[in-house]
Amino acid sequence: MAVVHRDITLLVGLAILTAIAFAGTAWVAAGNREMHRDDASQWFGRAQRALDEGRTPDAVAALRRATTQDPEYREYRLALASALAQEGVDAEARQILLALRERQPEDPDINLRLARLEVASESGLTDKIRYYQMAIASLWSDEDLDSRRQVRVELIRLLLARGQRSRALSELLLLGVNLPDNPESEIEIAELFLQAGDSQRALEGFTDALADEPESERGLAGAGEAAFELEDYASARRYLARVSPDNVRARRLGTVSALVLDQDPLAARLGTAERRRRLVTIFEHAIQNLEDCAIPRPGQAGDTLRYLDPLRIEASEFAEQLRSASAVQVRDAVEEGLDLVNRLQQAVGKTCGASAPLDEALARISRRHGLDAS
Amino acid sequence: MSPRDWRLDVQPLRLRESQLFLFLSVIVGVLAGLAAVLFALAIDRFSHLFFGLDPSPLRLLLVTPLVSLAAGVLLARVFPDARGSGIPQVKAAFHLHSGVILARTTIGKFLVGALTIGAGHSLGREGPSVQIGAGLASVVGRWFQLSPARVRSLVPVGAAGALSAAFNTPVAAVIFALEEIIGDLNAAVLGSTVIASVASVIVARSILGNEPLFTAPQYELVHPAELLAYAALGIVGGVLSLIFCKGLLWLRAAFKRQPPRTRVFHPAVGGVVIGVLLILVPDLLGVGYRQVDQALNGGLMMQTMALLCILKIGATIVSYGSGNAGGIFAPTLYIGAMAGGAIGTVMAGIAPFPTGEPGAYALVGMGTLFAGIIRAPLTSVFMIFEITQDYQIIVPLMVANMLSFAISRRYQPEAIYHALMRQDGIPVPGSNPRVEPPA
Repeated sequence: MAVVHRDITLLVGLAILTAIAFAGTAWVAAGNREMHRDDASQWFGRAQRALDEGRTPDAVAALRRATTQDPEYREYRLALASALAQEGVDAEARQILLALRERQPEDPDINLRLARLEVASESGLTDKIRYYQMAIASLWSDEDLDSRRQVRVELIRLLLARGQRSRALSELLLLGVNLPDNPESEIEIAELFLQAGDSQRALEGFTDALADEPESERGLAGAGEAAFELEDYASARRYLARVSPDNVRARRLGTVSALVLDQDPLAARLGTAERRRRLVTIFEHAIQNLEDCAIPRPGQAGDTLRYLDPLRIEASEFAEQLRSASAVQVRDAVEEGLDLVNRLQQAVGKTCGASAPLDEALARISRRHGLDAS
Repeated sequence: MSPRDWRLDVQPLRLRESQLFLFLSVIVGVLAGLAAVLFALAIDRFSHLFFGLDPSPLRLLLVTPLVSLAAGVLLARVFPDARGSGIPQVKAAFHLHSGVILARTTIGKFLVGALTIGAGHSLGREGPSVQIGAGLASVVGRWFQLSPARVRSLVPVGAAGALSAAFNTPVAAVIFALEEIIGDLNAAVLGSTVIASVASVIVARSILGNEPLFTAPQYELVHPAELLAYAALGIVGGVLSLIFCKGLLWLRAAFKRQPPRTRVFHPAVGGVVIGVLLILVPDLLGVGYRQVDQALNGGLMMQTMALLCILKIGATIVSYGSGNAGGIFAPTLYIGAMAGGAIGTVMAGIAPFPTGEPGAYALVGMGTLFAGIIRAPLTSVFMIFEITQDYQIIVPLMVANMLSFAISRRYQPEAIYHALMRQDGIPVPGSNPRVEPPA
């Protein structure tokens, strides 16, 4: 008599057959996956060639094939997202990246691409910053720490471009913590500090970099500009004098710095004659600016410049006073004269604009002596 | 004491039939799932074999008719019951033939279906998978010498298992088995179909991974007035469903009127038409899920989607009407996605209220055409949910489905599968017999 009924025997046999069928199907599926991977690789190769030849639509089509054939392979999808973004199909590119991000929320590359896509889009600054911060907070390998630093630099540049100086400064302070010890990086960060308005940290960065690389053109120009912003015109002139004359901005700042130092009538340790000479020079310059400005331009009614008349009268009275002043009187008249020059320059600047190096130097001199706000 | 007295009185270990049925439900579910997965893999292999990476126009032109010719010979001489989708045959087996589906038919469906769909015909793999799963269930039931009632009950179990794996939609598969195969949502085999469906989808996911069939963004209703736009989609979907059903039945009837000796060539005639279409529009090749995915993600232009919608209707009518082996589920979803995407793009341009992405309309369009053509509205709603894993768009989906279903039923009172059965001379089950659990 059978101990096990036929049904159970059959059931066990069927279960074994099913297990074999499972193994066989899994084997076939693995073969198909391999086949698709090969196809995907070929499509990807075609896409790369198309991209190299500037045929982005063909590349997109080929990458679509590649991602269909091997949907799990991250690089194909990233490449498709990039190609779509190049083609301006941002919505689909974003969709692909978001789908990838869902699987790998801490992948720095995906987050960075999303951030860059957002920068190119019309979305709000908050979204852009969010993706950058997610990219920065992603899991970076030790070898990629420099890339992470560059992402933060990108974020800082974005913030500066959007006028978010205080947020940019916060990021800069974080950036400075793990700064590699090389002049190039120090200069890069110092330039960002300068753009963010922290000239003191910028100057420190530039001087550190110059200690290692004294003839660095960027370092000298940056240090000069930072010193200029800090109103340390002597240092500014010293740094900027060593910058190549081809650097137009540095040359101008150097000229202005020199003028501030050479034409400031309230500078310390000046003799009366020199003080007088400087005052006369800047006063004559301001008067000349006023006269030039008072000439009506074509299409400009003469009475539009009437409001300058009181200043003209005041200026001529002061010229008279200056001409007949004794040494003691000159010393007393300098502050009054500088104030008048400042007011003349501001009035002329508002009406006609004043952009010569000496104009800028006069503004700086006025600011230096607390006359700027008037 | 005689030696005889020392023998143990051993009762053979055996199972009650209900217990056996339960075990078999699991095994049939697994087998149906494996068969559906293997069927999909075979189609994939054949497609790669026939067309390679980037087929030339000549290859596109010749492959489909030549393979269809071979399939026609097989269908005419060896596997006569393997034509078409397979769902009408499963319904006939369940309602009329005590659940008997021959092993030969099951094997034939697998082979010819894989060849035909792999050769680029505009047909889907889900219908054949259902027939293969149901056939396996029937064979297993008879192998175990179950009672006819039990064999019959096992058929929807296998069908649900196969569909669950084919679409990766376990809930929709159960509902489909009840709604379409049995015709009774309260059927007593509900438990077994659920078991088989779950077993099947576990097997399929363990082999193919747990990715949804399509990846679509999470769409939602943007503005309450947008329901009007979805209603318009439902109306268009209903009209397209009618065109599809009537065109399919008309062409199939036309082929059936031809002399019987020509039947062997019918699939090849369809193959010639498809071959020509493939040269003109290669995107019509095969199942077409890649294009559906693109439509769902807003990756196709309105004109492209409209063109693909029209051509796919024509191509599927030709492929199916000419007697090839393959289903209409996938083409239905394709047509719906293209129609929906095109309408969504138009709506975005003309609607005086905010509208969603065209992809959202493509998603709803899939369900709309499914409800209009297959006439299984509940299945369509759950299928769209499960295929895309998007539950945000339920209200527009139901509105559009309801309209499409109503229009389709108003002007084509007989559902497509019943009409196909009638064309084949198979008595259509008039009522929805309640399947009682065998005693």
